[in-house]
Amino acid sequence: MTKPNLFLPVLLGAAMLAGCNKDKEDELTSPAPVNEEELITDAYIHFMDGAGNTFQWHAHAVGGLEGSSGLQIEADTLPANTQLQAEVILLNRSVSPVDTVSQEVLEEGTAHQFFFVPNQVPITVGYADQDANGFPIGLHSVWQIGAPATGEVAVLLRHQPIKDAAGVSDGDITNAGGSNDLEVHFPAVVQ
Amino acid sequence: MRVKAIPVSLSCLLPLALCAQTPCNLTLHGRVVDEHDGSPLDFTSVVIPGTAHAATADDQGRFTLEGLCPRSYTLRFSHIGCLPREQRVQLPHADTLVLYLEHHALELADVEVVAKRPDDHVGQSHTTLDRAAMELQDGTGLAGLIGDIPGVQVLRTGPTIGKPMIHGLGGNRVLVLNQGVRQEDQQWGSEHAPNLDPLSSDRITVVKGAAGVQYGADAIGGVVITEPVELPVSPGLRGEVQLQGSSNGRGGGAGGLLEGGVKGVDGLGWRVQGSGLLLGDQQSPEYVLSNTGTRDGGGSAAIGWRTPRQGIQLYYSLYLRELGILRAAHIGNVDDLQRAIATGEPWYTAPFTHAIEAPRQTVSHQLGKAKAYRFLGGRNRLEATYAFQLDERREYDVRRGGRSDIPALDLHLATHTGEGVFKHFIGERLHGKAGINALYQENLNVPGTGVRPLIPNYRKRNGGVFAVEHLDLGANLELEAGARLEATRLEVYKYTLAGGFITPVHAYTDHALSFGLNWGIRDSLRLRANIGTAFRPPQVSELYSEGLHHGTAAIEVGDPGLGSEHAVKASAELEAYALHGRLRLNLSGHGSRLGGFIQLQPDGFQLTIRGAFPVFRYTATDAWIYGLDGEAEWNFLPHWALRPRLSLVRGRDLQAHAWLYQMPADRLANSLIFRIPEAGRWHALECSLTATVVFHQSRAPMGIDFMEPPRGYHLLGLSTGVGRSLGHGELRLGLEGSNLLNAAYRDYLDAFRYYADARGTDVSVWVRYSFGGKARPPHGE
Repeated sequence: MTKPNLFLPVLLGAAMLAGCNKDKEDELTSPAPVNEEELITDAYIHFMDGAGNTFQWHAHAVGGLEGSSGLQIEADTLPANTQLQAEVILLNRSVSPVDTVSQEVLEEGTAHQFFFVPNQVPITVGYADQDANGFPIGLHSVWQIGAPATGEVAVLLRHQPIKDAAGVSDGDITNAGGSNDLEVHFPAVVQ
Repeated sequence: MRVKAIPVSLSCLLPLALCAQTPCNLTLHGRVVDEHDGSPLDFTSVVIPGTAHAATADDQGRFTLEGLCPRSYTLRFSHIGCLPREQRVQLPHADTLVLYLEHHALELADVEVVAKRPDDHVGQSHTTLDRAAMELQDGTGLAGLIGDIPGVQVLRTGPTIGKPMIHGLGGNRVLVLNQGVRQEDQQWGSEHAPNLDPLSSDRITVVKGAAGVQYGADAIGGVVITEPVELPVSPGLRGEVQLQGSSNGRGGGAGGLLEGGVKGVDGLGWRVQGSGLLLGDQQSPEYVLSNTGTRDGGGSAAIGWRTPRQGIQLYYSLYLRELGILRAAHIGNVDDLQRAIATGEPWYTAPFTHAIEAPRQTVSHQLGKAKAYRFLGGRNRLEATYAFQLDERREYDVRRGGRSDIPALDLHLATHTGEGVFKHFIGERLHGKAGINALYQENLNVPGTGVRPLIPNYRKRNGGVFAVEHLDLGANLELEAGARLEATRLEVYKYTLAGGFITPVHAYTDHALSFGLNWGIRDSLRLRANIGTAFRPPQVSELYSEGLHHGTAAIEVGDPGLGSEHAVKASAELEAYALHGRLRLNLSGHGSRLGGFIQLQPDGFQLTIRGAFPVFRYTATDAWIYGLDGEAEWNFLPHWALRPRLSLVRGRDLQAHAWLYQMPADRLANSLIFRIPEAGRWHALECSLTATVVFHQSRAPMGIDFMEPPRGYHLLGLSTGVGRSLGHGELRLGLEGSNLLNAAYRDYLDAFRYYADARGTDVSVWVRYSFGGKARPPHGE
């Protein structure tokens, strides 16, 4: 590279390298931490019976979705042979202030739907809300609790489901499509 | 009958096509054109000294010699204004002759005709596609163009993303060399296709072997080379326009190029080229593959100046691409994946559209290159290349809260590479090259995505020295030996899941060796053998992935303790001619021993609030990959040929005593070809009908995949091309058809095999008009 004609590429290279300024360097070597904006760290279901008694189910992702510490679930026993009003609250506690994800779900109601799938417990769930097109969202629901039993209820949030597919508006997940944003299997005890 | 393009660049003369038939009934078709601007050299005299064979080229520079035997001939070309040249041609042609010469008449005085370029792949099995072969391929994109070559497969992520795989090794284990520069474009994942316009080059070479000595890191499975185009050196304008339309995707593309010299400045040449492609949703036999449209645009410009002793070239290219990802492949957790597999068809289909929605990718790749060379006495020359690549990738996911227009991944990768090579000749028999190369790279996550980056910020420095020497032992035997030493330093800047900030540094030192042999045992039998080593320092993703990979609904965990992969690969290729040249047989076997082979291994499930996810860890094992490629071409009747092509690959995990994941299934393709060199005003007519069988991959590891490898499938394809002169140029037309029987199938190497069938029938037409090349005064120099 001692010949004059070969200097040009070297000069070009030097010029381009010199173009890397201090801000770029900081951006590379000391990036700001990224807040996971779409994380759901906590899912609550608040229940209330006709007399004003409240019950709560709560799932908490330790370390967030990608954490390795797993999932903590606490579920109150539900009273047998009652009707309960239920509301789902989703939070992202990894950001400050805490983000109420269920508010985003409400705002994008047409693109979301909750499904409640009881297994071995006499519970039937009916939707008590509607999106802009008249299809259910599931943030609010009515739970008919039957005889005492022990089982589980899977709570799923589908993003971009096909709400007009057969059975979907009635809470049947079979034809719903979409992708799961939440899937928690709550242990359910009815007494 | 066989038509074969010989990329021979003589100063003035360029025979273009060669046809062979029966014993002493072989016909040589050729075309003589000016090396500088491609214009035909009319009335060139072509003789075989010492025989009665002689011909005179017509006004298109074409000539025909008939009644030749299957042996070697020396052809002598003479034309007013050019130095007479001699060219040895072996009939039937047993190897692609490549002749390296400087273009200037002055150079001819001290440049000898050598049979090989000093940087040729002596002992390695390789295949070169020239422009004519590229246009007859039915695939699009780099991977599609080379995907029919025996031993080459395409690793797909749906219909829009394809990456080349060579001998069962893909991804980071295949190096892509674009315009002589190693392509650095975020090739970490299988959903990151090489960002380049294959049509910006006239030739694509696929080297099927470990080529760590020649090309450095990553060349474990092989190398795909889009070769730089030589610029014109004398005045005269030449150009080309091309149009193409496809039925599947209901779209098409256009491209064009212009090149020329500058009057009054001898040796100065330029070239500009551009192309664009727009395709809508792809169609499988039974449904629309919703959100699989693509938009491509690219352009390049080059200018170069050459004198007898030195030269310089500047090159710039820009490639832009936006592509949709199959909507039904967006999944939230592993239940979605299992649901998709159980259903057997995509859960989301919509009417055909050209629109592209999330999930989608936009990528841009820019390459700026400066190259200079100078002769240092005799034939020795010094070359220096500097290149800068800027690659920007944005991936948009289906997100909540109006975030689908905010990229979930926003990467900015800047790479500087420099290379200095000394090409030298030591005595009559020994020649080679020695050089140094360096790389500097920064990967930056552009803030604002609201998603924890899977690939952290990093800075990489890499430097190497290498030498490759070739020894000619007579006309029929050539040996090659080479070595390389390379060091890599990687600085990573990353937040851990626990929230801490770490800045680990990794250093890797690697070496590669290569020995090759190219032996013309007889005129009709040639052996190429190579044993070489190659290496690959681990990618950042393999070291530091820590999180959910949305594309696969899996949690991927890297291992910072991983070392470099090392491969020893041996290959031998036998090329033979039989039945008096009517049968050509090409058989090559390969075996690779891979140490520290990095792969993802399942490690249970992780329960999250989004459901359960399988966990995969990057682990190193030892592996053994071996296989066989074969190709034959039998001219069973004049104008008719049958061409079977076979690829077999086997891969074993030597630690787990199991098959390797995602090894290509056995593939056999049979083509029936009809060729006519001249038919009235038309010429170079070629039609081929190809039946491809891809077998079921029964050799898959247990417990890694979510689904059994798909069953085998048959595809039928058609390809035709024909040309004629029109005005002052040449017109070429073509018709391609792929998957003509509209078979519904899924391929084991397609990451979207869980979600939907591959694409159905596609019929496309193309037309190309090239013009110019006559502007040069007929006998001036």
